[in-house]
Amino acid sequence: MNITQEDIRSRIEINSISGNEIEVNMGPHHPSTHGVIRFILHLDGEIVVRATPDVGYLHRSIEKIAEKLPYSAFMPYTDRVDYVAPVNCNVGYALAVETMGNLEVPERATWLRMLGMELTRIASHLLGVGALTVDLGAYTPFVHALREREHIFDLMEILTGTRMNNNYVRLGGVCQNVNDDFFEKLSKYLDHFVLFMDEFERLIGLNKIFIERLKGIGVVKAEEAIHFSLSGPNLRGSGVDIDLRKTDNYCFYDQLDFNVVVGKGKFGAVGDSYDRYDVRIEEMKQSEKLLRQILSRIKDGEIQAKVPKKLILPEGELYHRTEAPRGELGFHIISDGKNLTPYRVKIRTGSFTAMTTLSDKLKGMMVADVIAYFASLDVVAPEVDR
Amino acid sequence: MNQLAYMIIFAVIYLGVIVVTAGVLTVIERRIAGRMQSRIGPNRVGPQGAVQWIADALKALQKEDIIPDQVHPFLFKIAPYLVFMGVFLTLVPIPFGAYAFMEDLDVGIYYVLATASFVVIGFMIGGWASNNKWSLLGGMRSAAQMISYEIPTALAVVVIILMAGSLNLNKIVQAQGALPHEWYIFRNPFAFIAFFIFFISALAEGNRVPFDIPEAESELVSGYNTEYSGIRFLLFFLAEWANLVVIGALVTVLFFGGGNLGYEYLVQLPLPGREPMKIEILGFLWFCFKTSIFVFIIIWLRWTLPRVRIDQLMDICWKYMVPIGFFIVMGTVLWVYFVPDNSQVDFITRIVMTAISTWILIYFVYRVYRNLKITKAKIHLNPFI
Amino acid sequence: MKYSIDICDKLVQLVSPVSAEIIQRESKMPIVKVSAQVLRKVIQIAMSNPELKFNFLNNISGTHLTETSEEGEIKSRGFSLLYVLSRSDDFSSVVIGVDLPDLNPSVDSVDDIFGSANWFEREIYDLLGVVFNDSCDLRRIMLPDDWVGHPLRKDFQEKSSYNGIPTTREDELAAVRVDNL
Repeated sequence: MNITQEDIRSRIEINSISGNEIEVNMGPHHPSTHGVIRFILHLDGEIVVRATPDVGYLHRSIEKIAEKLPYSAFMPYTDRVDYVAPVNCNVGYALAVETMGNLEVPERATWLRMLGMELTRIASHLLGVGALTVDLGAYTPFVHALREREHIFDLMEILTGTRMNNNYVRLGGVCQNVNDDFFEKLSKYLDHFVLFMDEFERLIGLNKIFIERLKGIGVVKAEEAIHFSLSGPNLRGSGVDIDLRKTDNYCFYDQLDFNVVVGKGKFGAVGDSYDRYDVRIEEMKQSEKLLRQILSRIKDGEIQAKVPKKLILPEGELYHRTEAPRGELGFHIISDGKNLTPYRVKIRTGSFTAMTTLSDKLKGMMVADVIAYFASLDVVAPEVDR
Repeated sequence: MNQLAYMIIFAVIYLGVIVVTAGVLTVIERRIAGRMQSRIGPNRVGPQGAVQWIADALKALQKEDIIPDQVHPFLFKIAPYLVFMGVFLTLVPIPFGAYAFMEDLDVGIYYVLATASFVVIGFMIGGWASNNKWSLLGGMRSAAQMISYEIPTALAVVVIILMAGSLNLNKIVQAQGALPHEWYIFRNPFAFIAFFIFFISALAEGNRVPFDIPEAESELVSGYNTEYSGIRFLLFFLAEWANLVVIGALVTVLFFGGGNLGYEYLVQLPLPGREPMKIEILGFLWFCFKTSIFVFIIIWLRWTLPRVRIDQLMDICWKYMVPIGFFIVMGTVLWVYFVPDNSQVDFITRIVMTAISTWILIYFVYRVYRNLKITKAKIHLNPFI
Repeated sequence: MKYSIDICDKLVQLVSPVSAEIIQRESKMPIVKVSAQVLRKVIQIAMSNPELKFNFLNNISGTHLTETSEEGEIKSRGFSLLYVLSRSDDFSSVVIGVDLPDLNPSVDSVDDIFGSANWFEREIYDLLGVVFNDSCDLRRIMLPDDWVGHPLRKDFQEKSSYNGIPTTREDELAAVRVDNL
């Protein structure tokens, strides 16, 4: 990309407004479900001239709290980093600590972790896609997606003990075991889920109005996606086939067979909002395939290895990344080798970098397209603010 | 004096009936919406939730009358009343059945179209007087949308006027018949197209999905509605649901022979008390049945389709609806001139069009049935769960 | 994770007149340490050199380095930043670290090389106080614009009130706490 310093500096002039523009506040309270994020839009009629996102309304200083807690006590806080996909954040943190401390994880525990991750991925994408449809005005597909999430919550309650904010993973394994009738229930649910995806696509995916609202909106080309560090479905929607489950082999993903779903410009340019929506839909189907493979491979065994109660990690730092539903979830842990608590934990989330595209992309869009583009990025406020 | 008192009492009764109908429609819509979304809808207040609207109205009456600080007080207060008046006035000439109308106006349909424009002023004033940029945007968009879509509406109505030869809604009803092949929609292919143009434009006039941008919650946080609370907000709501009844009634009267049971004596000008009560009531019920089908279709569309963007909405109106409208008016003029009533060509066209439409309807039901079987979706057809 | 010592060696070799050393060689994540003045140049070379082509920015994180004496006093030693870059074809990564002094820590901004760097740098400026020179937009991001202080520092003391709102509350259960019984 040929961008000069002058281009960058001229991108943002914070306090200037010209004569026929109005400044509107798409304020932290929204009827849509992305959380408390505020936009300051300068509109010229219907077109956005300048857009400034203002975040920090959900800043809970999780990273500062981490410096005061032992490693295993920080696990419930990672649930709240992305409360839509809690098990994924749990596993990300646990893998980072285990890699740094060379802790063993038994095989059944890894399979159970992958089970939780893929099930949560389905639930998270359902919410992302549902929120997109409700922002565009179709209320029914959103409620259907929530109904499916309720079924997944029932399964998660059997697996982990709670519906949301599961706190399922422990350092060295998972916290509780399941017996075989959970697998039967899961298998029955997956049969139903395939039919539900078919129904969902017939309901809204191929609807002409829906396609017209999303096609060609917010086209992010592959080079731009890499330049702005988009990750996860946003990056794959722009045509770049990078999936951290395939590139960094963590857990047992190398033993499983699944496709990396890439946006193909089905109804417009590659990398428009419809592609991002389509990637999420197809990823849910791939997760269903993965779940069936996990069901056939999981064996009996222990679920948690013996981890020292007073765990002190060796001195050093590590940045470990996993594929969360919203992008790359990275934990940068620094340990000083002496204390029970980490010296610094930095959490890098996919929604944070997705927000960086906004100042650029929202220019020249109409207000309705702002909503459609922002919803297609599947940003949640807790990930942005932590 | 007697005549005036009689008219006032009749008008108050009419207003009461329409308000009750609009209220009950809100409950019906919420139950239909709930069933489509795999949930039940209001069912606590009264039997099957039928009294929910009274509970909502009483709650809204008890709310504090919040008037924001720097609004224009008179305009802010009067906007909901203007909107409600605009909708209520359109109901005057519509014949609900053989003799159930308020006033037999010779300029019936022209009067309806004219008074339907009143709501535009109401929305604009409500949006501007709210001292809120989002409300202003919502009001402007709403005004642009409604004014634009009045043209395709009028063009579709011109098709009917050409075929009926009169603006009087009673005469339009009497010119049709009871059986499907005598309805105006199947008279000639241009009227068939005119039905769709009219229906879509009426949806846009009434701010219903897919054209509900002025009240788009996620974008504008309710547009012109934002600063209104309590009974003023309810008046906007009530006007929107009463508008549903208006759209349904107009579609039935203009295209589907509303209330006409096909008796010969209806050709003469009706006077109260001339015909037996049974026929009047039967005609009224037949009209209500047809209107309720269209109201159901409008509610169904609201909870299925996403919203159109404002520029796409304007595109649809000016680039597609208006040219098609002109085309069908021209076509109807030629048709009415060259094909006299009750001739061979007329009869064959009517039968063929009825047959094609019935076949499309059956095919639609078959497709729905097949999709339900493929996706093994569980449906519960009992409306009183 | 795709960190390999060979990539780090190659990077050190290709930035060659500039001095860079590799720390944590035997650990799972070797870090290429450079000095603050040459950071921008190193990152530019890492991104544009055809043998390296690290064009994806994964993370920029900052840390406040301190040492705690036996009495519990915290003495600040400076700041350390970590840049994680990856290649967009196979997502192998390299990690570049900088150490910054304690007083007026500043380093050149890289937000024209990577589009997402601006928000990472804003967060580090907001929470740690590291200034990025020539940044296009350096404002606070998480905290309100009129906040005083940088909370993620180890020696951060909260002010007693913010805009008239007290930041501490009287402990209403003090009488029944175990320590006071």
